[in-house]
Amino acid sequence: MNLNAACFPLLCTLVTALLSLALLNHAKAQRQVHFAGALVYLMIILALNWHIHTSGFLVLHFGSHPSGIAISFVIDYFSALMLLVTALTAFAVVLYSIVDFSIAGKRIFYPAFWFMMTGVTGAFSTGDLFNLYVWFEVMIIASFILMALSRDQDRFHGTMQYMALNLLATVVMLMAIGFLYGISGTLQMANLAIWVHHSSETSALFLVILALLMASFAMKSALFPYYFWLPASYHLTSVSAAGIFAGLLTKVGIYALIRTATLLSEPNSSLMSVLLVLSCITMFSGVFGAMADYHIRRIFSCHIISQVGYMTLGLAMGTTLALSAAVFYIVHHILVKTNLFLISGLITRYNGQVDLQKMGDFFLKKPVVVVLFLIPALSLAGFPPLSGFWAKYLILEAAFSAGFWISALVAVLVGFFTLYSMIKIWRYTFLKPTESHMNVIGRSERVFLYTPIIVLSLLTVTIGLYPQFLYSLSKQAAEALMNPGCYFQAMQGEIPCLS
Amino acid sequence: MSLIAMMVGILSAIALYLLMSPQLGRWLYGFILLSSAVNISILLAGRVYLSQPAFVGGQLDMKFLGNPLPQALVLTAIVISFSLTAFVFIVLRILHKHQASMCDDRPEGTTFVNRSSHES
Repeated sequence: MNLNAACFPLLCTLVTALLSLALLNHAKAQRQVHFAGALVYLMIILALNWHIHTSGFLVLHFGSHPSGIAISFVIDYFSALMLLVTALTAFAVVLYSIVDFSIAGKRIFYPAFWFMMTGVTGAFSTGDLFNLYVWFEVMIIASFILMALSRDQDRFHGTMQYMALNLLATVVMLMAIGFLYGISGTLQMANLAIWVHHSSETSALFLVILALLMASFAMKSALFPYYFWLPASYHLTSVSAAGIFAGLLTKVGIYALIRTATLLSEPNSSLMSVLLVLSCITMFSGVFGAMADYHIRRIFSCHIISQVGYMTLGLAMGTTLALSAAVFYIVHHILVKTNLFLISGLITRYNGQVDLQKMGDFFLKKPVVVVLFLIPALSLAGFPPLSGFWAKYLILEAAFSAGFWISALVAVLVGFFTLYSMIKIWRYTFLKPTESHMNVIGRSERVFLYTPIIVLSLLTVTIGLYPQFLYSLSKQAAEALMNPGCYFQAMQGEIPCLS
Repeated sequence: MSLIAMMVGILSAIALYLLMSPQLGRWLYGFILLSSAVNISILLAGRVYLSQPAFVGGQLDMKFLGNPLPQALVLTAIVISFSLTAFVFIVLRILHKHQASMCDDRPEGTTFVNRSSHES
């Protein structure tokens, strides 16, 4: 496999987006392209992962310009893992979206979906800070389309908040990038990291700029105090779009946060202690929002916020164990969260309601849905032997071994409250009797609705039963992040080292 | 140089004031102003202001040669922020028109909708 392979996933998403845009008036062909694109994307990323783990990092300098001048794509262990889980969730959501009721007749969904995937893939692959900004813009402009496609009557307000906060975050990010270029003279992340470690003037000015940059990523990943746009908007859009938003968009922010924090700042920097406090408050505010709410998808949106707190907590603690726990948590969370949104869509499809108080009777009438709901819900709350248990266990172990007792206590409490809000859904949706009848879903539609949910649930159970595999992957990624020597070597065009 | 830097500061201050307004129109002006201020600050941070054009006039002191990268960056940023703003205008306009035709009695707390609907 040659070095050009680093941009194959991006090309795949871009070609799929353009093809589905060209086939806008051919609904059936468009859906076939949509499905084929997801399949090819998954294949390419599996091959890419295989390559990374057998023969080292992939670095592509566009136009064969020397490193530092060219825009570079770097696929290291962390990028490859994120791309893998992106491809898995994208595949599941694509299967679901083929028969999604809430986007029926809205053909612009498919190109917008794939343009958003282009942005996500680009953000995970790039090794250049300004290029990262461009991919963020690609991602949000496509997500605006997906957001505006909803059927909800009251969508103006939520969409407005979503757009406003995301636009502001990108402007702040651009400002930080401009200043960073001004003081360092480079925007390639590897060169920036080398500049930070070698220059004697890592001054207060640099700290302010880094804080600005990380604040913009924090806004994107719904950290306290900029989290209110998320529960205001995610439940308004269609189920497929909400599934992919919930799985990926905030996690791109977390990815950027982890990437910049590990490359540009020290583990014991003062920014990290700020991040630690913010993570704890984020965990609490998200889960309290979930406990107070009755709209099923808004509850899940609030859970995203509290879970994002766990990931940044892992980053903020600054040890290799904590970082690998954070990476493990991200992978677990993307799979579970997408799954929960798809299941909420399925539940809404059956009884036509989104309000918990108007649902009921699933326990007797649809026991399969109940089992499928239980797997990701208990996993999110951290029950053994599901993936969430190991994710929370790793975070707790990292917190105890580094002596962060209060953070560990917060993590345990938030897990408990998460369970409470899941029990609320359980009680209202599944146990409570109701007069309203269930809609009937045709057999061919059921295949497309259930398959992605079953696949994602199986992945959750597999991670829960064999956590060693994912743990070794995330540990490898975290070690490569903490010791970026390999990253620099690969960037300079030397033979990348294998661990 | 410092005069321009101060001007950017004042511009950002005005933009931030406008961004805090609950009115949609003012908010959008604030956003446009802020993105312009950021664009100027990229140019300033890249020291385009002090530099000389490359290879013109025989002055080849590397210290004063123009650096094309900040200009390339700011060009990209201008194009992106302009198109993004225009796009957001259109999406919000469509949503707003749609909403206004669908329901007439709006719930409380939708300040944006109420004020802008009186204008149109």
